[in-house]
Amino acid sequence: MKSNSLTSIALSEAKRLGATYADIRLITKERESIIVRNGNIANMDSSTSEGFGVRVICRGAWGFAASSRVEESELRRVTALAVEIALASSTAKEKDVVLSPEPPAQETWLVPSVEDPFGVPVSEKLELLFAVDDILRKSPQIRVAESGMRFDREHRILATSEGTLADQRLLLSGAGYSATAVEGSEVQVRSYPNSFGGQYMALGYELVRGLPLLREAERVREEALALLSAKSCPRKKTTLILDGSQLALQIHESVGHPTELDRVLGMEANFAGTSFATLEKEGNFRYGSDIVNLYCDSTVPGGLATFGFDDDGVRAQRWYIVKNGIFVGYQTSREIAGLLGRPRSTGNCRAEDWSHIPIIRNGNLSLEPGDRNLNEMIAEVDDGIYMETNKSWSIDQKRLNFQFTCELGREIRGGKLQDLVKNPTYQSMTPAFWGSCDAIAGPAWWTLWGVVNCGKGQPGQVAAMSHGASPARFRDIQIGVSDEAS
Amino acid sequence: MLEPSLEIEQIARNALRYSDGADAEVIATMSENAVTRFAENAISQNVSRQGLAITIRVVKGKCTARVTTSSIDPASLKQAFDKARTLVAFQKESADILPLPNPKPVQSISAYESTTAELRAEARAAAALKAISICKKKGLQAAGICSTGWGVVAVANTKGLLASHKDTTATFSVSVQTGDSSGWAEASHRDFGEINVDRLVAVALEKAEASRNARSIDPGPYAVVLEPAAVAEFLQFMGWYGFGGLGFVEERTFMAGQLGRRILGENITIHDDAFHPQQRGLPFDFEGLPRQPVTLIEKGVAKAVVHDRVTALRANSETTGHALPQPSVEGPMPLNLILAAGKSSVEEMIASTPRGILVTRFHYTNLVEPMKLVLTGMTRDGTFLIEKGKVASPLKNLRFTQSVIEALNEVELISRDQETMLADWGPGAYTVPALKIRRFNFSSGTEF
Repeated sequence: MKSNSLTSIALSEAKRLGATYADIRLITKERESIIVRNGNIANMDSSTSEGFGVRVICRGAWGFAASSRVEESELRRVTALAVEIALASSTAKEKDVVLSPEPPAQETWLVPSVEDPFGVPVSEKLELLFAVDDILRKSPQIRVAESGMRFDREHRILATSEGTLADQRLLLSGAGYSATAVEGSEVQVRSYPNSFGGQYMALGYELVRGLPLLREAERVREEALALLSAKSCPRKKTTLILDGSQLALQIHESVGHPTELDRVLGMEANFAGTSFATLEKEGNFRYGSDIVNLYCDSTVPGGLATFGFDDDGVRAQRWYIVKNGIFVGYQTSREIAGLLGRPRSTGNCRAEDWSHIPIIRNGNLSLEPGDRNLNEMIAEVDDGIYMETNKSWSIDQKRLNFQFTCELGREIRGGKLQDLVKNPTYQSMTPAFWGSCDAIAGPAWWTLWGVVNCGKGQPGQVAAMSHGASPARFRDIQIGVSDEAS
Repeated sequence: MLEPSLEIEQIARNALRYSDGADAEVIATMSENAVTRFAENAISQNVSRQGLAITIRVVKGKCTARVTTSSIDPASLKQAFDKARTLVAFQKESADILPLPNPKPVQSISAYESTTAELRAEARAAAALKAISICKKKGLQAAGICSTGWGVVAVANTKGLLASHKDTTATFSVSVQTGDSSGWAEASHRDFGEINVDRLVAVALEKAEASRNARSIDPGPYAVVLEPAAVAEFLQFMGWYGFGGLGFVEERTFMAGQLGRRILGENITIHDDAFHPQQRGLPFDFEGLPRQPVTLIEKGVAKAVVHDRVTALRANSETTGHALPQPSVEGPMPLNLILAAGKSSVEEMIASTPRGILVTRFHYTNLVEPMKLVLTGMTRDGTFLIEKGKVASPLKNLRFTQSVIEALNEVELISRDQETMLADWGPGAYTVPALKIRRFNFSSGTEF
């Protein structure tokens, strides 16, 4: 059956059963994943997942049901189940769900790309990965060399009872590698272009061709080896300069999640947690120093949360979360915007796939570049530390106390990068940290980094988004926590 | 409609018919999972999903490729095999690719409760309403989940191997918020009827009330009493970063080179056992080979790690039946970890502590350093100061940064009662007691 027939069946069936609102998402997602590990192909995966999810409001409450069997009888069964679930929800509601207004739209949208990654021969991809692998494994102390690529393409059709029909084709490409060096009881890892798989963008294979994967492999290997004998991170309060990729995760954890309005209202209280960025702070709370400007942009080219419409059917937007250091905006859905009587959702409502209900997700939240030269930012530091590439992260359930460990640190002394530091760790509180930011590098250092492992919700969903950042400097930050403890 | 195990076996066998003479393996899964989520004293999300996935793997000499599809129509299955054969054709030989295994007898585990599998939304809503109505009456806020579901999995290959398993799972989790404090409790069981919702709500409520007006305490080393949910986090990271065979043979984990040596306190014994009555393990691995109970740590001595056939070969050992879908970047994993019980109780642990901290659970724990297994994370939903053998006052939450290896060398008391906690993400369950640890490092604090 054609997709418009399938969506019509679900919407009309939902209406017949008493739904006051209904939507259906019909999704096909394909993924190709290749991993080369220590000279072997450790993963050669191709997957296709097709299914649909029906969301309804009955008696003022939500119900959602989903299935991988895309056929008429199953559509009717699942729609009836969504209605049954909504009626059960209505027995425990405080208020009727009211969706913020959004004009219906009938549009198609796709991620622009130059080269279809699924059309590039697997042999060519393997050739590049094995070449990287060869360089990484030139030292016997490199115990694990792992390089990989991942490509996703998704056809996402959203049809709502309000008349929206959004037909979108999304694309993700990613590539990267890591070298793990081992000597005795010391284990150190270096990654390129980023940890946890590399760099990911909403682009075609041109992303891979544009990354200097071969050129950087020797440096990555040598840095992993050098970290084995590097000095430990000193324990002190000092000046910290973070590279853009680490700052991207810092933005994600300490600005992105706390400004998801569902968290603020307690909807995630049992699992992911709540937020310190409560409603009365909007418009007046000092989140950072005057030079800190953070904005969400669902229209930015290459962003993993760039789309025509979110899963509420809300058109992509760009808006500020922090402006001149002041907290000015949230990330919302139609349900949560409606609950607070806001005129419009910011369009952050997204689901991992057909089997999950859309929830508020971090958008492409980025730190505006500053006007500084990174070399000058370092030259101005008598005593400090530079850290790059995330290794691990942790933050409290209101998103205040965080602690990050990076792959590599370098002492800064006398305005110059000096000795290598292993397991560099820093810890702070969110407003104090952003408030201590006194320099941000300019556009030449700014990169949009992809995050593909953001978990939220029950049942758990994984979402992808991007965060742009250039290196930034923070004063009087506690470093070296882990070393003392270990 | 066929019984679920028979249906999934039939699907797996049918899929193999499209292998067209190739050596092939099929992993077929089918599941239905429903979650009623509540927050701010109302049901906030209420979902159900049913899914099917077929992963086929073709092996040709030392080459292999996997293709997954959610469709079982003949065209999709044929297309999946064609794709796998194409991918195999491109490959270099890999030493780690082994021929498909021959069948071996698999012991079954009874883990399916039809009443749980068939539970409707109305019943889940009623359980949520219990928590909501109790909290409403007290002017408090309830949040949590009531989830139920079933799953079946079958592994089959062209050498005649066929293994299947079905199970159900139910979880009730509740957080109670007072405004300046919170409490939490959770339980999971294969049978929803075995979950005592009233007791869980009472525990969460009591913790929330007792946590009002929490005060700060300086970070530093303290004696701690860790309730089972906190201890489960240790096992989760030990499973991911220590007890698997791949990290062991690559000498990058705390178990590497340590077999036969005492690495933890003499009172610590850790098993992986899918057949433990409190676990709901899969009796075979993702190659269809029987999963065996493995003693990993015995009285503090490193005894073994879990293996698949690949790591077993490299370690000159035998597979323990812990393969993930092959080939695996992560290597074999223990999914049913058990920390052996002791003879104490949380009450006795508190009573024996002149000054220390009682922890309900941790939040957002992550790895800092793998060889000593240094973790960091925050306390959450009930952190209390113990003074002179009694719970003296609630504390604002603290961040710990601590080596698990060192902590498990400092265990003073172990409770006789164990609880089973499910992994936050992915498969895995941890059957754990409460622990009293002499010295545990808190590295910073937070505002609540």
